[in-house]
Amino acid sequence: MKRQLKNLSVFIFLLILSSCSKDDATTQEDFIVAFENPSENFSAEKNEIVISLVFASPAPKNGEIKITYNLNNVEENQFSTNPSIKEGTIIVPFSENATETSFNLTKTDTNFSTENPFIEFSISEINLENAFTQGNTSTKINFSDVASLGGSISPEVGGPNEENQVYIDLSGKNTTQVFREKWDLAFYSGEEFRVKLNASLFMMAAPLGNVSIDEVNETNVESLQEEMAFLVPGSNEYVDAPDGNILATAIDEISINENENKIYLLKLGNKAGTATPEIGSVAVGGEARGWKKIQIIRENDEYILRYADLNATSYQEINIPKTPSTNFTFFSFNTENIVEVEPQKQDWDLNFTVFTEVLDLPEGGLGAYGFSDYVVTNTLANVQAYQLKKPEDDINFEDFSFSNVQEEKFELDQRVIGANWRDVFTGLHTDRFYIIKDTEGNIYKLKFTAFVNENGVRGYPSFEYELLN
Amino acid sequence: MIKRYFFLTTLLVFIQTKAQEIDSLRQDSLHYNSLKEVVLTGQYNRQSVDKSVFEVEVLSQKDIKMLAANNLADVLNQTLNMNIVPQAGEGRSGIKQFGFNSEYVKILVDNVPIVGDEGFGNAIDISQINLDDIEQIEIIEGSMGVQYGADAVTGVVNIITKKSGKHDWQITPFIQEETIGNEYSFFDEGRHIQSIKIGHNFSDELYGNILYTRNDFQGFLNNKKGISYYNRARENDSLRGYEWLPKEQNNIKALLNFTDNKNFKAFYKFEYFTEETNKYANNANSNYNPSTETINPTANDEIFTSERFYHHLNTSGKINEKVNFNISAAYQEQIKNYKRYSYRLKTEEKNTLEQYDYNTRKGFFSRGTFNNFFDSDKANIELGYETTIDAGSASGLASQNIEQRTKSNQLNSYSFFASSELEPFKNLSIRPGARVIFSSKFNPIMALSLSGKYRFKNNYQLRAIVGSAPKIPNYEQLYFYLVDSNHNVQGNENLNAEYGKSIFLHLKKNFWSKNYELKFTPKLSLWFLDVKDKIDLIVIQNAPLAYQYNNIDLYRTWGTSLRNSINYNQFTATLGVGFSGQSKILKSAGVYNDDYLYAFQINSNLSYNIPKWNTTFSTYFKYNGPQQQFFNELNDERETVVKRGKIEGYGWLNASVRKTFFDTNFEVTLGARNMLDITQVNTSVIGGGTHETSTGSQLFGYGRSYFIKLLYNLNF
Repeated sequence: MKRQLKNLSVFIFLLILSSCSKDDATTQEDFIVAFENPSENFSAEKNEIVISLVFASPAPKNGEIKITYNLNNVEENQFSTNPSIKEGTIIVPFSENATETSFNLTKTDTNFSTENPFIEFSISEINLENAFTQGNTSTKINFSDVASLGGSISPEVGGPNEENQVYIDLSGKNTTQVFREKWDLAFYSGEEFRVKLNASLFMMAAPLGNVSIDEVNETNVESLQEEMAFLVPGSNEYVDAPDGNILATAIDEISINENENKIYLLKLGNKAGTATPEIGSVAVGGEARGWKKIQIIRENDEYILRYADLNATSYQEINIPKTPSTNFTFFSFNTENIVEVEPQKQDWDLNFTVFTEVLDLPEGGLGAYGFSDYVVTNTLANVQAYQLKKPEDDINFEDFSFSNVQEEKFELDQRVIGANWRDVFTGLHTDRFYIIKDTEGNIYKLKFTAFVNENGVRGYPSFEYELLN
Repeated sequence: MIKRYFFLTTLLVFIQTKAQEIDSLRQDSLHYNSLKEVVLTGQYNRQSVDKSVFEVEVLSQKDIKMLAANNLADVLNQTLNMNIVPQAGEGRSGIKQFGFNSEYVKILVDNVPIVGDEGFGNAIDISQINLDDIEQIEIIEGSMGVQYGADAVTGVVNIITKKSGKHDWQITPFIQEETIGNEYSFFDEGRHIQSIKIGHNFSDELYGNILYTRNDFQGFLNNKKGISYYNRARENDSLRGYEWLPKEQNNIKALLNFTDNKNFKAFYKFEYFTEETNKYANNANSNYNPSTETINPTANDEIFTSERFYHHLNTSGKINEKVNFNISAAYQEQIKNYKRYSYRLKTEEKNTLEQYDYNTRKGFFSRGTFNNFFDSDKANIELGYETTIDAGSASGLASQNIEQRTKSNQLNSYSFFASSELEPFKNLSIRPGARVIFSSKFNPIMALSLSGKYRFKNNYQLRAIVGSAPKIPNYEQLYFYLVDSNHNVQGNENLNAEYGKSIFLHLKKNFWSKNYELKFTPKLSLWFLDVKDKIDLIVIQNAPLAYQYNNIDLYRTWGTSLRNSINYNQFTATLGVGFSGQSKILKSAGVYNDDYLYAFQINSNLSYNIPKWNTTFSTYFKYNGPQQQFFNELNDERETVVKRGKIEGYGWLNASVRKTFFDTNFEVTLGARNMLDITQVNTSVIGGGTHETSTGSQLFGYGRSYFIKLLYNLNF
């Protein structure tokens, strides 16, 4: 009995020992500081620039960054800074737990040299242990309008509902957000008379036979309505050519002869979604927006849009002129008026948007299909692009320079980036990047750096880019 | 085909001639009784395997001990007609019986179905079923709807727990350490089990025990690199995390058993179980900061925490010293919570993103049977009822709208069943039975059965068992919802139950040598099983395209097996060979091929005991032959064609030695699992792209592992 108890206690000791758990320690992190952007410009209307310094991790304690500068065709008396310059350096303070700090640069003169005037600021010292600078260790502030050297952009498409279309100007490092439901039809400003649908709302248009607009109603288009849906073979006929070819829109060219212009059944698609999806999913399509019937005709150099609800027996009419400074003039059924959407046609290169694509269907044939996270290029303003992908293209983004650009590879197709940069199951494709020739002929290399935010939520893309020429 | 029949018949004849000289009488011999197996499943009252009308397969406590099985998956992977299907990425293990998944097999503990993700006794994660207080495991193949109700379609696994102890006090602690493949360290790798059981006889009438087991599985890395890994080049290499998810289980069980040693027995059994499974994202988000050229990786990790309560009160005995009754009442709860958090790899900070009820089920179950109403050797009638009140919720049913992702449901069902055991002639017993199931959701469903046993003059036993059982649709089939501009896939609340039917024939004989030192039992079985109205997604509308779940398909399977067991002195051996084919009429798919696809399995166990050394050696081997499967592919003309793919065969070999010391008080079991070192099994079933068939592999094991179990019995 006694021996048994002794054995048992040894046993229980073993038992306790084998159920212990572990612990381990973490290491002290480095503190890394850099300029947010590699370059910035004073445009004509701007007199002050806030120059941001960002930290890779929150500051472990209060500290200071010492910044030095070099002048190129700029005089000391033509600018001032806050904090001000003392003995050739600017001391920028930051506090514990901060993730960034900044200083201001003000232009105090208007007459600058025409010979590329700029100031280059550099980080020379950070007064903390384990602190150093890396990445944008300097930033170039131009006093003339030159193309941005690049940097990083996180277009605010709006999270998992992706309710915004975001226009990106690479050379101006500028973004413009537009709510997707703001517009319905886009009337081409170029030579041809063409009308584009809002592909971000999954709109569709189908020509009707020889009828007058007032005769069209729910009952005589019922079977056609069933065909006008995603993944139905032949539904590709009802959407604009996804490559962006303006001569292949769902609505035929608007003829000068009024009666050659057909009545179109217009599916208004879906509102932007409002539901919260599971983390990692999107909810881009909301409530259905219903149907309209339209006819578009020409008068002199203007479009005239006739539109009505599906069962109405009369219609509204509005004159829509071309707008030479933008690719299109935009019209909204909500406001029944012309609305402002795109920036000037030279002022955007990429557009992040929900999009309507055309796919090969599993059962054969082609059909329309909705895409989230899509990026189109401004092909109407001659933006061209190509993709480099490993292993076919064996070069790293970091190593790619102007001499590697292959002019013959540039494509004038708005889908070059498209949804090719991501996979909805595995996330960001890390094996590819893009070469973009913008509206002004600047060539940039561009690589996506995020598909989801830190928490895995969709609709938070980011990319980095760099000027090559 | 004919060849194979020929082979089996020849084998049987051969075995018979070898056993000719073995005498088969004298069943009252002591030796015989010591080897006699007693079963409970499907019986009116506990009785011997040979008397049972059903064919019950028993996995004994010795098997469990020699396998050092820490959960049900460890023993069932040696069973014919069953396959363990690990879902390593979910930390679960399912089973397939005759090619049907866990939703078609009913798992019971002491005749009570245990709560699972999809209902009672159904879709059970068998890696959660601890075996530390088990007397034996009984398996019946075939539809058992009359005896066990809905979802007992392909068969029943009934786990019988121990309910008594020989000594006044029994204190039994044990520890078990296992390597996971070649991964092992004291804390961070491998499997670590600690357990203690205390049993006490309070009086002649009252026995009680309590048991605690902790099972700490540290996961299997294989080629993955653990939690702290991230790709420094910001590439998605899917190397983070584990191949096999780590999890920790804690089990507390308690039992009180009362018997008045005459006409009344009662027991109360309690179980509390917790499990935490950690699921780590395979890729970290690098959160690259192009300004500083730094990354700050975060990962979206998930934790599943499960809790299960089991209360079971059973009474049995005789009313007026005549009518046998057996009534069980059970209340069970299963709560599975989900938590997603963002893990910052550099600082090890965790930030909870969302937390919700993943899957919950609560329910009451009661079953009562009454028999022996009149005195007759020729006829017995059993009447019974079964009630289930089953309230549950499931999530993940609407990915595009979290407000609609969880659906709750309550299914109340009330069954009445009756069967009769008749012996119209000597040596023949027949058992017809019927059950009617009323439920709050479905129309009344009938299950019928007819079994018969005939003992031939030369002591061959022939059993024929015809049975049926419905299968209740699962939550996804009833409530799934994915409707947006691109998709339209919906569950269907108007689904009917699927319906399974089976016919089994078993021919068996016990051969004995003259001195009763050798016992040889071959058993030949032949079966056919089909499930009609099987639920699948179908296209219900082409323009626009819409899918819905419907009762549409028909699955059929038939097969044959030969199982042999030999006991000779201290040597026991089993050898089983099974051959089966499955055909699927997939009306849901439009294009399908309903050819039978055949596969074979072999299992064998050898065990040798050396009493002088207090040592037993044993090996268990199961071979799952190559399996074929159809899959769809697009050809060059963009038409869907059906192709045949193959999952390669694989073997599962375990071996162990068990030795006792100090008057059998101290037990050491040393062994190896998966000695053939299986991790992945190649398959060409996975559908590829348009023009290619990709070959892939399926994860089946975590490689050759070694275990040691040290157990101490303190009895006084």
